[in-house]
Amino acid sequence: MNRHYLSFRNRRPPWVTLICCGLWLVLLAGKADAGDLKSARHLLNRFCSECHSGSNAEAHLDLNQLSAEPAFGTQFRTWEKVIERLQDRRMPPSDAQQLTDSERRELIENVGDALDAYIQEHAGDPGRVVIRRLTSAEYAYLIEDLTGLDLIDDQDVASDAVGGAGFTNAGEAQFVEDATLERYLAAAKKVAAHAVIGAGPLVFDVNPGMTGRELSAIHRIQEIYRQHGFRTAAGEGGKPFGLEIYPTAFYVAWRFRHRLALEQPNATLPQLARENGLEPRFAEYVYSVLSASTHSFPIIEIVERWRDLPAPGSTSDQAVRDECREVYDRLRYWQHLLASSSSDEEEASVLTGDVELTSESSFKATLNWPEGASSASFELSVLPVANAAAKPLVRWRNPRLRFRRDRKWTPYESLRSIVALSSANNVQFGHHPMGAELDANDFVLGETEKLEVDFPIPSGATSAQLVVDVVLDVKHGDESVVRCTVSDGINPGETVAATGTYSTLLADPDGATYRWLKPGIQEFAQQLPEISHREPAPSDRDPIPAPFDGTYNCAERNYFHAKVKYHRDDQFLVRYLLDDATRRRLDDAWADLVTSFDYHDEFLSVVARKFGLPASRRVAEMDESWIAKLPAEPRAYIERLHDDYVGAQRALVVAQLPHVEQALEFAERAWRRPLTREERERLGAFYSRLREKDQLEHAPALRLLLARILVAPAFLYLAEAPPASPAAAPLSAWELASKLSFFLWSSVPDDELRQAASAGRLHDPAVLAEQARRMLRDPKARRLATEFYGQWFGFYRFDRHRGIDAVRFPEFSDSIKQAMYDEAVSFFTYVVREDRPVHEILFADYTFVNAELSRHYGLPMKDSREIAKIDGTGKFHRGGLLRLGAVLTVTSAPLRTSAVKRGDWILRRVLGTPVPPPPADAGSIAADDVQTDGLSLKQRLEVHRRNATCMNCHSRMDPLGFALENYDPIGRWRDRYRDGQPIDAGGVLNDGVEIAGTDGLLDYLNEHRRQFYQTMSVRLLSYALGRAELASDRPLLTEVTDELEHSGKLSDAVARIVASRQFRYGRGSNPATETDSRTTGKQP
Amino acid sequence: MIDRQTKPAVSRRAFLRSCGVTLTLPWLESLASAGDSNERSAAAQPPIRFACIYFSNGVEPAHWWARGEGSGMELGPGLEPMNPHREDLVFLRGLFNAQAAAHKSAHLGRAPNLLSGAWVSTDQSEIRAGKTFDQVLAQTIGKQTVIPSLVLGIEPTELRLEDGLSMLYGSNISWATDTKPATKEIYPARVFDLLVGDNKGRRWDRSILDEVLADAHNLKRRVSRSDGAKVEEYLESVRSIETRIALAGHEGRLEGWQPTLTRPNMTRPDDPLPQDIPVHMQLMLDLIVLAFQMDKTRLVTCMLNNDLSQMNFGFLEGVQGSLHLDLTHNGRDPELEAMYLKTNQFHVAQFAYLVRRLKAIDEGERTLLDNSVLLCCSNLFDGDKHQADEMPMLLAGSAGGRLKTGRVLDYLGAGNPNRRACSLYLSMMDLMGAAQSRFGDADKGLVGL
Repeated sequence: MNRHYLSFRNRRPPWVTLICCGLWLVLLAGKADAGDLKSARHLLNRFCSECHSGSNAEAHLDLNQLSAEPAFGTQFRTWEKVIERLQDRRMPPSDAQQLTDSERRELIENVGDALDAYIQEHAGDPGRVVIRRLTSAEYAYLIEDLTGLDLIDDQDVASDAVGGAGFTNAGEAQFVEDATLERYLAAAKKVAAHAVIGAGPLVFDVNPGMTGRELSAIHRIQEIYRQHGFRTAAGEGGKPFGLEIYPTAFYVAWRFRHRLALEQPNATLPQLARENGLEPRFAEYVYSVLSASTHSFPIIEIVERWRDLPAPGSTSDQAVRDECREVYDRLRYWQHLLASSSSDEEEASVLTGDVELTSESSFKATLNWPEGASSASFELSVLPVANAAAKPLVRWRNPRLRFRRDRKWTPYESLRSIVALSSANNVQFGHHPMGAELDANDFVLGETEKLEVDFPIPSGATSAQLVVDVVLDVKHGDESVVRCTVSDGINPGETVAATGTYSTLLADPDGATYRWLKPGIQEFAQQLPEISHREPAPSDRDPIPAPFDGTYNCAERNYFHAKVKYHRDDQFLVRYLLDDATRRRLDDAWADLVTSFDYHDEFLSVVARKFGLPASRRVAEMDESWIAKLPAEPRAYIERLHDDYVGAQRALVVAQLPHVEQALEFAERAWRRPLTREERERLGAFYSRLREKDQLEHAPALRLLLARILVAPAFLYLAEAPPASPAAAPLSAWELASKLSFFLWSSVPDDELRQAASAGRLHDPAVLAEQARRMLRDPKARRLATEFYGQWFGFYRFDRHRGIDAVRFPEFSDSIKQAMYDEAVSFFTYVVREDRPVHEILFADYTFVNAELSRHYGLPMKDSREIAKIDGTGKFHRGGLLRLGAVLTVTSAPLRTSAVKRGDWILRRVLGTPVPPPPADAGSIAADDVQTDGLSLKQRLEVHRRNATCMNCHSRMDPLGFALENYDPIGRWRDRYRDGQPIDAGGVLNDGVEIAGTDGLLDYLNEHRRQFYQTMSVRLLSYALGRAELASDRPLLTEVTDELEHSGKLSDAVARIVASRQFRYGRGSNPATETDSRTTGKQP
Repeated sequence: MIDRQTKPAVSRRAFLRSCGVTLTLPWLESLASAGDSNERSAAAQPPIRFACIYFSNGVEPAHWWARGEGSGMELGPGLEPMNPHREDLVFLRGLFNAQAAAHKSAHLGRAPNLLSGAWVSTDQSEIRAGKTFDQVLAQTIGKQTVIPSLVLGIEPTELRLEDGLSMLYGSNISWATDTKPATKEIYPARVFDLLVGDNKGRRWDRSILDEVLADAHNLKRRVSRSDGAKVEEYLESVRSIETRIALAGHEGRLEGWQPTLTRPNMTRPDDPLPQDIPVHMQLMLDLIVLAFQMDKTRLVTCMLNNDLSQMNFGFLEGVQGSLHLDLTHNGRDPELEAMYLKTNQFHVAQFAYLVRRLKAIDEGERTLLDNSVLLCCSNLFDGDKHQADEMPMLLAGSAGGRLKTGRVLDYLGAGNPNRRACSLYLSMMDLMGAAQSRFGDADKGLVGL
């Protein structure tokens, strides 16, 4: 017979086990009827019941009652203790009547057999799990997963305590009182306040109320703009994005044009667009521009280049794509040129096609050079645009340079004073070709292809800036439109796109060339703009829309920026770049934005002020007859404003019903299962009652509905419906999904798990295991590091640890504390998510530190504020559980290390073989590690150990704890105590094994690895199930332990647990085996 | 919700019913049934208040003594802060809980049962420590006030096991049932809100609570009966909040007596947990005074620290180290013994502060202190030895003149049946006007009190 009890959890040193095993072999020879305590009951009654019976039983152990109702399921540890005491001959006590050897054997054997028979019979019993309530941590994680926001800062929402195997998720240690419920209520209302209830679908924002609506709306608008629009300019307005849109459109248009040659005669533009990830509307639009019958300049340049793309067959597909990019480069060139030439450099003019050229402009060009160069150059050019015959002249006025050196700018110096002699000859300073007057520092260029200007680099300078004004000299040269360029050429390692090239267009506003060119430029800017929209929240340097005064810093503009704040200008984007659904989302977001404050009234007051209208009206109070009486110009604005207002208000009303539906979906996620029809009706009725009977507005009523969902027992409790009989029955798919996600993520199932549940696939243990493996890789598995490993090893909430004396250890700062906590959490997160071999938990040669913690430990690590993995730390006494700063600190006293605490911690938490509590009157040793008696702490402890009652346990604990004595109370390595006494790390265990230092301890643990895996199995199962270990778990625990020993993967152990009957089944109470049989309820 | 201006004639019962709450024990009835408080309730007499100030880890026995009587009473060094209040004191020596003293777990087997005298369960899958006498009171005379009882503390529950037992046991001296601790509040701001919060403006909370109450009833039907008991906790909580909201709409007392304060005379504490321990403690004590003065509750327990507390006493001049590991278990080092004494005195000084403040409040015939009976105690005597066969205990206040103070009562030699702490609790329940015939291991009050 395979013995499950005692053999699994080895509570004693190996030699004891050996003797026990020998004893068992002897005992196994004469075997009694399994599962029956007949002879044991008789013997217990005869020899033990004098002390161990009745209400005043010694040690509260009533063996008469226990043997009548053995309750092996929950009382197996008591029974194991009975066997132990009998084996040790510590019971009956020497002054009591003794059993004969054969009676003793018979008793031990009978109890052992009965226990084993029980285990065999009940293996896989899911056990009674007390209904669980969310822990504080789970509550916060749930809210985070449901809203995407970290809203719960209260670490004590639920008044946590640990129960069972030492975890907060054990139901029996979870309570609800009115104070708890008040906190739930407050938290739920807080979460509900963060719901954005506007025209769009229900979302949550980090800001509550209307601020949340406003910021969420802006966020959603920007997200749509960012995702669908483009901004090719990289000016102060932001970084460029959507750069792929034009070249892709050119390519799609090319494919459509050549669809016959490409053997796709039926291909449509939308289809090709979708294949290439482009919005069909945009493909159709660009194709319409490219295929128009007539084109103005400069659009014609782009169109011709596109038409000249090679036909299919003559070149590779990639080559065509590359050439499309070149067409786009030309487009960029013109966009950029026009934008930089426009006297108003704002984006708006480009978008509206309102480009005005002037005869003057200025450059501010940054010049770079290869590292180590002693001289550098830049190039200038002047080229007529569109009219090749013209002979223009351009004055380059007051050119000056400054250098960047030591992160500072040098003062400006005139270009003439610095350029090298050779260039000075190229550039004729102070000389006008037509003999006109010219400042000595200026020069004049006619049509110039490329003029190179060299200049020496002062030592230490890293870059330069050239500033120069350019003026078209229409008095002495031809009227024309010219392009002036400053470029620092291509430096090594630079791409063409990255060169510092600056161009501008100059034109005589009254000249014939410009009059001819102007409509084309405007057409170009409108049809192929470089931005698809303007920012919804213009910064204060952006102009305000017409008709208002856009002069910088004028009262009207400032008022607009401060009060109206938002302005929508995204027609190009909406018309050509959005599908219908996105248009709706965008409209909703805008409606949310402009209804999040009195936008329309503010806008109205600007209009009213502008046109001298009475300012007292509100948009809501306007009627059409009033508007109709207004003068024409303001009327146009006010009509538009009024329409917009009415539209936004209507959008809010239209969204109300969908919101209620979305709240029900929210409830399904929060309650982790589909709602019953009755529940749907009740939730809906609650909302309706608030609206109709209580006359609440939509938003507050919906917030109450959300809060009500989050205070419901269905949210707060992890209820599993018990089967009708006490026999175990499979959990429902939703119960399984929930159990799994609470185990691994301390929170609700994600969409994938929900889908698996809804498809009924979770009943397959293989699917369950596969989901578990997926979930362990997910970032949310970090919660297994904090919740499971943190509680198991005692670094839970270490970031709030207050057990260190701040006066003695000022170095133990909040940031070090945080870094130590992050170290531990990062370490276990890594081990879990990367599925590292579990022995690395003890023996890893790496750890996770930031620069500050690295200094604290004396590790060589570069500057890093972030926690990062660092390898090969073993030689610096770091790596693995035992050498984590957080663990070394929580096992210390405020002023000193505690070998007893650390030893007890190793026995209890790592090896799973705790020593019994000390006798109450054990007395104590002085607290500080430096004392006046000259004895070291270790010597003092040895005095204490000489006491026979103490020795038994301390000889097991102290040597293990002393092995870590080289780590001080805040986890630093030390060779001496503060008073200079050397550290003597280690000692001899009661079985004669010597432990020398940390390395010796690690060797010892390596030899006893299986015990660690056993502890891990027990803790993991208890944590997964939310209950303490039962005798009937032994076979599963042996399997899990074997798995850990052989495969060494946490994922395999977890897979085994979630596929087990314990995990997948549930049951009510079993009257035959459990003490709570009297309270078992029948299903109504 | 109820417009009392237009409907002044509404009866109290009808009012309560209209709030959707069935009160099993509205205060008048319960008051009338509360034994001999009949004679007090008829007159405009102030009620008797009870507070227990608990400190963990015992005392230094050599410094914990008292002798003599009244103004001639002498106090040991550990009790030094009580010198100005000797005449208000009853010093008790030699009381203990037999179940605690017999328990193997030196700390957790001897802490949560301080006020119940019950056995602490060692079964891993069961939390059980026995309903405490303050909560027996809360469930009887506690119904006379908006808040049945205040359960306060300074330190949160540690999330670990000690000797295989949940640290829950070391963090709770008030137990609402045998298996459930009363929720301890450690945030001063939350206590303040509970005392003076506007329950009248909670119409919408009520609407939520009504809904989830129905949810819980449905859930209770679906789960097993033992889980149903857990769900019942939820139900009770919902009901008690609803009751509080309902009562809040009902201004004006039915009793002739009026509390001396109707609005708080202290500002609301800040939201975060105070980092400074003496400040934190004083805030809690001030809140107790406020609760009594406004008659929001008449029953308070307050744990100055948890059992096994690592509270760092560096804030006391000349003291360093933590209460439990460094100072209590001091290895009889003279320097550390001196520090330990200072922690004892500090704890007693907190009690003295409460006494002084209550004494300064005039409630007509007597001071608030004299309308109270206060208990200052720890669950261990010699902290270093985890000695539980006697406990340090002090009473203050004369319970409305029914308790003679200025006395030293030594039960050490009186024989175990006469040394039961539960006898004291029976006597105190009697003084509070809620006499019981049995409690814990006692069936008679404390002889000679």
